[in-house]
Amino acid sequence: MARYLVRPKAGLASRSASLVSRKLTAAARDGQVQDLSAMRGSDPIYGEIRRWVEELGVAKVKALTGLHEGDTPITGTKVLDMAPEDAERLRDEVSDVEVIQDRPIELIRPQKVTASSKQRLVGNDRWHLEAIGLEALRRGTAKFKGKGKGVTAVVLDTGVDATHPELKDRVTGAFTFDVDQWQAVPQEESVDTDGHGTHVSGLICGKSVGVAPAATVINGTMIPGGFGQTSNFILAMEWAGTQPEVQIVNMSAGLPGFLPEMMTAVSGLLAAGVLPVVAIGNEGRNRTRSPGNYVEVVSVGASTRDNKVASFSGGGTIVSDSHQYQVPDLVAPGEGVYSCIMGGGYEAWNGTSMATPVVSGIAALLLEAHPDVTVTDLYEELLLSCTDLGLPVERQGEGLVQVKLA
Amino acid sequence: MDDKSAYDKADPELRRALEEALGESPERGPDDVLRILVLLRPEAGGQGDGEAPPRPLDPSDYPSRIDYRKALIEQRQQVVQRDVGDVKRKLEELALKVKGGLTSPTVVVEGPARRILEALRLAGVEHASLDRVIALERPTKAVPEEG
Repeated sequence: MARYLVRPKAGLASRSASLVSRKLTAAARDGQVQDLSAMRGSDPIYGEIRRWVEELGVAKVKALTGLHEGDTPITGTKVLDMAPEDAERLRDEVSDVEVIQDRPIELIRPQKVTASSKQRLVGNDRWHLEAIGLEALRRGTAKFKGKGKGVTAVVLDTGVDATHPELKDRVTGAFTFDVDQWQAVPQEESVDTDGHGTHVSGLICGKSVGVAPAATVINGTMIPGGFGQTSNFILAMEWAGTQPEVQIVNMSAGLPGFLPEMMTAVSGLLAAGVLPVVAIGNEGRNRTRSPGNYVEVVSVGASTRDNKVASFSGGGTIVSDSHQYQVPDLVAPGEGVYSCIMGGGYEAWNGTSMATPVVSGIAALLLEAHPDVTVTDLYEELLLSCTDLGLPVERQGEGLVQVKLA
Repeated sequence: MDDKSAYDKADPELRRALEEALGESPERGPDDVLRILVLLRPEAGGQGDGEAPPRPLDPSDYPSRIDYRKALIEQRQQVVQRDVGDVKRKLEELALKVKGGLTSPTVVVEGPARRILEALRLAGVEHASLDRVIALERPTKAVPEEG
């Protein structure tokens, strides 16, 4: 037996490793690792390597790293102990793979930095509410003092930890999706498989961090652990569209590029009176993800504390069905935004995932104020509410979304 | 419809999967089960062909938003059934598992590769793609400013 390093010759991860952050700190490294891991999850070559190893069996090959996606994420390499003849077979049977005999490397140790975790938020930690004009509205003379009462959003995400104090009494249901049985399966408890959905839900309806703290959310666990299939998406869209109490769908998952296979499922949502609010993606300029780049969704990018568009926020020009348009539609606070973390407490995260629920929350306020609005008029109101940041439309869309209610 | 026209409806990943299953590969075969997403369209001369979109519903005509949504859902289901119900039935007659298609003309279809190719030959099938992984757009944790 010898030790081999196995990796795709030119896999998805290496071709498209335009990482969200280019900072060389341990905190930024964490996000980079997660991004590469997510990209590798969609690389078919990795899938083929994994299947080959599973078929060979533990008697003949020992994986020194795990068999699931995401191990050794920085190097993009699997480390396997196997016989030389099996290494040769792997080279022959799996195309586009490199199989290299192991040699000594030096471990790179990250530097320790202070994280943003807090148990209590103070001062400017809720800057995202100020940036959209909500705090000013609440302090001012506007008649509308609503908080989204009677409005329900579905959060199609990793789950929601309903035990977080910010989300007490705000999570009114929890479902997973079984494509084989083609049904949404109700869950007795609302849990989060990852943490992402909890952070998102907090920004919609959290008691102090939420835009619409009287709105409610339904947990639709479409991407457990951060991954799902497009068939999950189709089922989740159909289910959300046929729940009469649901008015908004919030989503932060996507496939890189413009891929039309989910488009009619999204337009089905609109036709059934549900507003789809979707993150554009975190790969920066001229990169977008589907369905966040569809014309049928409210496509959301991320803004910063100083009213610029975050460098990681996606955007660009899309040509589809003989039409040309820019995405995102608008931007909302998405850099250094505090919200709930699983188990309690808060953390500040960067992502168009954070901007998206801010827009969903504003949509909830608009629905409470105007219960007779159609979904297309609601979409239009969101766009008309924006403040122009003076940036190119393919970065900011209509601008920074605002809460404008009399 | 010839095979080339059918294959033209498939995205590259599905095309590759079909070519492997229906080709010479010893490890794949025509009975390999594939799960795909299929966009359906009204067939020429069929029920939905050339039909006008339905009258828009006004929320103020309903006692509550939930009632309005129920009406929209019902309307949408009727439109989709009218437009692609026949095509959906034809897919089922090919002994394929067909799921969805209530509020949108996209269905999830599962079955042997050889039947999937037959499905692509149907005039009411516009496009098909292989079921694939969809990933979370991961945020990063913010680093607090120093000082």
